[in-house]
Amino acid sequence: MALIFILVSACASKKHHVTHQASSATIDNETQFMVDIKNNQIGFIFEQQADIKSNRGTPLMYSGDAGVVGLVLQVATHAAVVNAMEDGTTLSIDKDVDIKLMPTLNRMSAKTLFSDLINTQGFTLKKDDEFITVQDRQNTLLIEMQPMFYASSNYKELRLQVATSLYSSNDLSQSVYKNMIEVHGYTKIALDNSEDEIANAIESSMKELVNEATALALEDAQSKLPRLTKAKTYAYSSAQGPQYSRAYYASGACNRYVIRNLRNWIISIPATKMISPKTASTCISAL
Amino acid sequence: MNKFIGSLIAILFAITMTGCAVTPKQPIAMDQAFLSNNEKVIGVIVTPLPEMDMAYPGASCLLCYGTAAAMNSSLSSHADTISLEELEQVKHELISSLSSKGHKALLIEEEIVVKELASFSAKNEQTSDKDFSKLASKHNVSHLLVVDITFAGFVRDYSSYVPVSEPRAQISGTASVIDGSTNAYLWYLPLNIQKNADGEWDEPDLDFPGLTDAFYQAIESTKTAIKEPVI
Repeated sequence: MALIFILVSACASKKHHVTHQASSATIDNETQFMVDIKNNQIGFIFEQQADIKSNRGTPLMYSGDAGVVGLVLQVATHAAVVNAMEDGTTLSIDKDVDIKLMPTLNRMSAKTLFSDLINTQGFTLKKDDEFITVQDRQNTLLIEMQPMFYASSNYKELRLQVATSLYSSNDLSQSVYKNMIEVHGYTKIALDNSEDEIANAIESSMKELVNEATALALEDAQSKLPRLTKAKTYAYSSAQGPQYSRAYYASGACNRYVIRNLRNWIISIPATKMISPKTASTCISAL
Repeated sequence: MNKFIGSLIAILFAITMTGCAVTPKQPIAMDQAFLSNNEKVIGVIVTPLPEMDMAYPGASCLLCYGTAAAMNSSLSSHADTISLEELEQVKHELISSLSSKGHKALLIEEEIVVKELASFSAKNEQTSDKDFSKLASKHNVSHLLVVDITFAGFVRDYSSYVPVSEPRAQISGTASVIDGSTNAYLWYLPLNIQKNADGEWDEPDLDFPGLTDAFYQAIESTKTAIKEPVI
């Protein structure tokens, strides 16, 4: 009897659900742009977003607290992807990627150097085998960057994720700041643009993202991006459908939201992409 | 005699298991006639939300469950700190959406536990097996929009003692629109929203940022799934 009772209880406590699995409204592929650090060149790798996500467990989601192991993992994977890029083995083009842009991107890849994207007024580029580094003109600070670009399949939206470390020029053995900076943006391209116009628009947008990421890293290192509100869920649009991020509001500029997620990463999103909250950020008093 | 008792137990076990294996109710698409008719009065009910919980499917023996619970104790403690207040807000958002569409909607604040409602002899899958008519009558509404969340928390699959998946955020339950006079479903949506941590999940020192973020994503996806057919 006891056995029957246990079985019946177990059955009765079973919850009546399980059928519907929600998924993102629109699945679009993101294109990943790797920066080939050895040659200071921008390479293009076409991968599905799902494949990119599966990599996020270790190297790409670099955390400020990841320490040396996290850094080494990231470098190892980065190197593996770069090697594959050199072999030409990972250029698998998804059918949804607009292949009309391929020749343009390949040309751009051949002519654009990552150093072209850096604002040379403030910094000079240095590089070694593993990192892009820039040095400020006063020679007091060294910024080490591992950039990764993602683009929507129509290349109208760009996103940069860059693992950033800052070193004092006096002591290069230990970073004074480490964090992941993510900047979202648009490109101003139209399909009736010429190849050169498209390439220039993408390059110009990449330049904006790199320089904003650098500026945000410097601000964050100077503690100018504090947690200004309690954590809330920020919703913003992307080519993959609505994205949600639990984060703290960090800075007010009317055209952009700068938020700090639960990993402490800094994320900058154009106000025009924000679904909620809709309040523009400088309007800090309103938050 | 012992053989007879053994057979009886085996039969009862088989009957019990068959009962457990009943096919879950299938989703019913929103009745568009319901949405286009503004003459009705809709009562919105969000049943009391469950406590944040942990589930270990596959850890089926008592000792396996205990082992799984011990193995995930820090995540379980963290889950207890997460508030479901933002999920509860869906009731106000539903009232606001319905009102903006010209419907008469009112929030029923009474604590309703669906499984404790009187049974109703449902003639088909399109009708609830619980009697909502008295509730509708009591609150003077013609229809009820019922959100019944039965699980909110983190789930990790096990094979006896061994974890076979990383933990994920999950919110389960149902959302439905019921005709207050007939108990017929005009909409029925089983919910089982699951989100994985983006990146590393096992970061107890940082309060599990990946899984916490995933859980809040699950809240937003749940709210969207509930509101979308109504908007």
